[in-house]
Amino acid sequence: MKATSKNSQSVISQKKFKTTDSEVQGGSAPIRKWFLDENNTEWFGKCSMSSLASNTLLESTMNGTTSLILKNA
Amino acid sequence: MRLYALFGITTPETTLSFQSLSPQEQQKFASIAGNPKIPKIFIMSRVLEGFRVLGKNFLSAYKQNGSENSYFFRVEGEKVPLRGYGRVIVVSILVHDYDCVGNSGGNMGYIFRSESKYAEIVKIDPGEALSFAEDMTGVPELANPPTKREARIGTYQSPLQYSQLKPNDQKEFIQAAREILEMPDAKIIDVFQDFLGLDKRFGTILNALLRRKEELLSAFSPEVRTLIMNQIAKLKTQKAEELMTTWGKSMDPSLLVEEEPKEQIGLILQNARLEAFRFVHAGPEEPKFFQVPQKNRHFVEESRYYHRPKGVLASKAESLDAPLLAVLDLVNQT
Repeated sequence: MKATSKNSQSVISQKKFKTTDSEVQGGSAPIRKWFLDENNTEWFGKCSMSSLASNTLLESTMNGTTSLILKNA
Repeated sequence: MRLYALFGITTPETTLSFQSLSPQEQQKFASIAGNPKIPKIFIMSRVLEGFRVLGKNFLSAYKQNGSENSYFFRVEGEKVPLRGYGRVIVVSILVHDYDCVGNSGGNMGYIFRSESKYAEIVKIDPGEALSFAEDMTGVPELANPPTKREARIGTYQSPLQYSQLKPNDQKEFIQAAREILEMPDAKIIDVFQDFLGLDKRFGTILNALLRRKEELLSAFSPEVRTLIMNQIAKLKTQKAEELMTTWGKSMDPSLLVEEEPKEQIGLILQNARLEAFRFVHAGPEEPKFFQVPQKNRHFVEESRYYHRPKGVLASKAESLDAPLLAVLDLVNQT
């Protein structure tokens, strides 16, 4: 599957997150982590199996807009 | 998550972020991830202060919580009612979230509102919502048509019937259903606007969701209709009570024939929409109601109304001038 959209940038956060070492309990997603943003606000992040299996890229196009390219692995 | 928030449920701020996998994760998921070196999309939820998950004992405790009108938590030594559960359950049926509470009660939680002394439901992780994008015939045990009048609360849990909700949660459920009825489709479409161009499956999901909204309202139309009729009756009572204060006093007669308030007209329209959904989605064995206008004995037809002055005036035809007679003829023709 391949799809592009100029709107994709608006759904992807511009925040910079860094992972913490805190342990995550419970949940069924394959990857679950705690993060801190630039303001040291705590976030919980998870990556689903389908997200792991896809190769999703942010590509900068010739005219400078950002597109989301979805390709199933 | 935006749909839960749209219908008034507290949710954490959520966003998407690309995150690189650690070397250990790259190794662990090498067989799954097509290219583990490419950053993967993570769903990020901002942590809410004081948030607690419902927990693994919640589902069984809820059903055993005696004959009380609400479910109660013990928080900071106080027994406080849980609010928002009925609302979140009806939205979970709408969005087909078949894991809305989670087997261990980890997909939903609450925040203690100390000033008002209650525990407010918070929905997190709606990972299985909108699952009707793909064909679900392979997993019939998870499919949940609204006609069943039940919520799927966990993948291994028995469904929660509407009738098993606490009385206050049933009231919340039906009130939220009425708000779903009131919600214009345009606002739901707006939630999808950013995604429709990304993948055609979002369009499939949106169309199925709008249809599911009608099916849900059809399934709960008796309760929603009762709520609407009660609200109309309440408005009429209020109006009557206002007029009672003028008894025995002279008053402007136009107040008696004043138009129905906008709120009441809105409720009448909602009731008509509800009946339309029921008409379309109800089974063939269910009765269909047709509204037939009844003749009003007090209604004065237009022609009779206009003929009467003409009759009076015609008797004095001698004194009428030509322009007035022309006007009366025109009136009679119309």
